[in-house]
Amino acid sequence: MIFWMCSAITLSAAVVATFSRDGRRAALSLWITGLGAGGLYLSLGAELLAIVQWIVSTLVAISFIFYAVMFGEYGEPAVLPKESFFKRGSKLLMQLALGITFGVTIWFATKDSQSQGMPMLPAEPKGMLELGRSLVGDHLLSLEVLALTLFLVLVGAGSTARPEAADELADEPLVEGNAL
Amino acid sequence: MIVVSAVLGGLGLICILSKRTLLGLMVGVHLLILGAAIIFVVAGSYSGMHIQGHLFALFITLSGVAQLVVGFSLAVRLFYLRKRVGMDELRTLKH
Repeated sequence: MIFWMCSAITLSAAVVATFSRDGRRAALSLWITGLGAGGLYLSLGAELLAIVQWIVSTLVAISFIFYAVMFGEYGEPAVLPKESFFKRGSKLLMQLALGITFGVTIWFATKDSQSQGMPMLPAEPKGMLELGRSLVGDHLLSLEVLALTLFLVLVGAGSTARPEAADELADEPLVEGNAL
Repeated sequence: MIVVSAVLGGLGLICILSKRTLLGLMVGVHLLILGAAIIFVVAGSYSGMHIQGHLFALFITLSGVAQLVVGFSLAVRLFYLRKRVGMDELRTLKH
């Protein structure tokens, strides 16, 4: 039950993120998608992954919102067609359904957990211990490669985003418009 | 359960194909990565190899952060060069 509710939240938010033209709304929908995916992980017994997913999704959403605020207003002027009444209504219904599903899910999840005597976070120290041992034991090389990759990406991104002398052509006048 | 990840991946693909902005592209790739991670967790649960599924999903999720960082650095660079961040600009990123 909890799994399917989290699935509904995840898929509804993913649909909004996919078809939304507003960058900020897409970022918030992506955040809800990540939260729902964390709930899916939790229902499958992957507590560590759920926590990591929630943290990553929150950071990603914040970054996307910064992105939308910083760069969203510059670019080719977007010609937005006038939306029909049906389209606006369906958008409103989708947002309402998303909010209602989220609230109902929290209520149902709490109710199920209380009735079954199951904590929200399945406490299974042995599973977490095995995961940690496997991570630093069998998959230590993978962990090191991941850490090195993230470090190189960070350094490379800093180098790529650095302004250079050739960037003088950026003195063109800004083109106002909504690029998202 | 696999249906959820399949739909997520499909939506990500649609997003990549339909959006013409860097933000839309990154949202689509993030959805694809999310779907892939869920597939690994579900497959691990089905096959009884929970730990391996969780670890693969963890690696995939953290690799998604690298994709995000690269996307933002490209956006900043593009903004320095063109004062615009449309996807068409990426074809001529250097000059």
